[in-house]
Amino acid sequence: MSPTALPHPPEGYLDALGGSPLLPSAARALAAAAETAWADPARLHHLGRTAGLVLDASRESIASWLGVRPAQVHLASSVQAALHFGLDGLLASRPQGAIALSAVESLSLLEAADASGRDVEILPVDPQGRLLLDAVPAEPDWAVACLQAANAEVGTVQPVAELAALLSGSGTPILMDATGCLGRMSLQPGASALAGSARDWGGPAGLGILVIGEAVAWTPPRGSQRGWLGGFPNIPAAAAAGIAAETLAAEWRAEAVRAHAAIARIRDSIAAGIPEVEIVGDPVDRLPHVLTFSALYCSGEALVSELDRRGISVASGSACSSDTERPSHVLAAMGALTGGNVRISLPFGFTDDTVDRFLREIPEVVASVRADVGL
Amino acid sequence: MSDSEVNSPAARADSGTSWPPAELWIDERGHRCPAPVIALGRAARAASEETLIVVLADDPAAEFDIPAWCRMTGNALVDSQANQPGTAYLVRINAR
Repeated sequence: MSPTALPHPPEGYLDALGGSPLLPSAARALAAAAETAWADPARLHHLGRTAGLVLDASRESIASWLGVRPAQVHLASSVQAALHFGLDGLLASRPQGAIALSAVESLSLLEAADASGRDVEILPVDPQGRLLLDAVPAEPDWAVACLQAANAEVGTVQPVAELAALLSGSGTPILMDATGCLGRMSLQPGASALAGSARDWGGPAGLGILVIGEAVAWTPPRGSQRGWLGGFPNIPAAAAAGIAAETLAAEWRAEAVRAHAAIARIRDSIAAGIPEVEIVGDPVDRLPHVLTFSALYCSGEALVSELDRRGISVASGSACSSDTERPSHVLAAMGALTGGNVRISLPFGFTDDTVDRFLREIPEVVASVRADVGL
Repeated sequence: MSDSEVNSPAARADSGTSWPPAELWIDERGHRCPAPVIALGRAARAASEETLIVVLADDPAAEFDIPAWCRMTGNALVDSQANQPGTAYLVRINAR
């Protein structure tokens, strides 16, 4: 790892999925493009051409990193927008058939499927959150199947390639949500379309990608220009995302090995040191940087607040810590404990000191929250 | 939690279940996660083995967290029944 290529997140910060500092190279590209590439790339004047070239270069960098042609890479304002454009465009080319989704897809995608007017089939997962392939019918009447690359909440990698093999006879396309995965793991082959977020690979918020496979029938939304789907392109964000992809291409494998080992250490330490805790998700075949566990007799809100008081930032999927007042649908589909949930995700450039500090504090935090209720 | 109604006559009267009498009734209706599991954990520690406990809860998380509590603590979820409002859970204490 080259020491200057990765960011320096604040000590104690363990919520990469909630947001991460930009890679330094991406921060510089964002500022530079904001100065020079703000014009409408559809204009014929030289400032428009400059902006257009920056947009093209971003798509080329992302395509090169992912091993696809630049024309296959479409940009959008978020991964949610990319998923919706992906789903709508695949459905537009397939007038018949249901939408099948794993029960642990993002709520945004589950809601989009419900709103599509198509029949929706929810496919169950096992206790680790992995799609149950036995639930796939021999001859499905599906227009689209949606399966994430890995579940970003619990880390479990999904059997995308195996699902693709099962669906090859019917020709059902797979829309793969790679949220949390790009820059963290190698993607399995077999998806017809993939959506991701530049936030996941050290780029800025406000930049989603939709990559469409060769020869896949997909209808772009109206009003798209030069690879940007829906509205005026965010060219500085695209520029930063492209540079982040170039930077991370040389860094991510070593960082993934480091994160995988750190999460394994945290996992073992919690399992050995804190009673009545359920660690969820696959222990090995998982995102390298994600760990989720739930502690009995604790509220997620109390755990997050007490850790924050001690300088450690984590997330939670418990109902009391969300704004929906519903527990995480992912934990619910897995049949896991939803209360007292803590989700940690290591940012690029995390330090062993932060991991050590978390491991020192978490047994005391759980014990103090339990002591408050006499358990 | 202090207002959790353990062995409340009102809870027995309007439980709406078809179960035989249980030794302990815990009324956690109106209480949010993790209150129902905390009340169950406290009651279990004070109970002897083979005790049957009924928990009434209407928090959405209880549907997942009471079965998870049973699995994690080695106790048995004997049955559950829809109950307005919420759900009634019949738990047998195997371990404390």
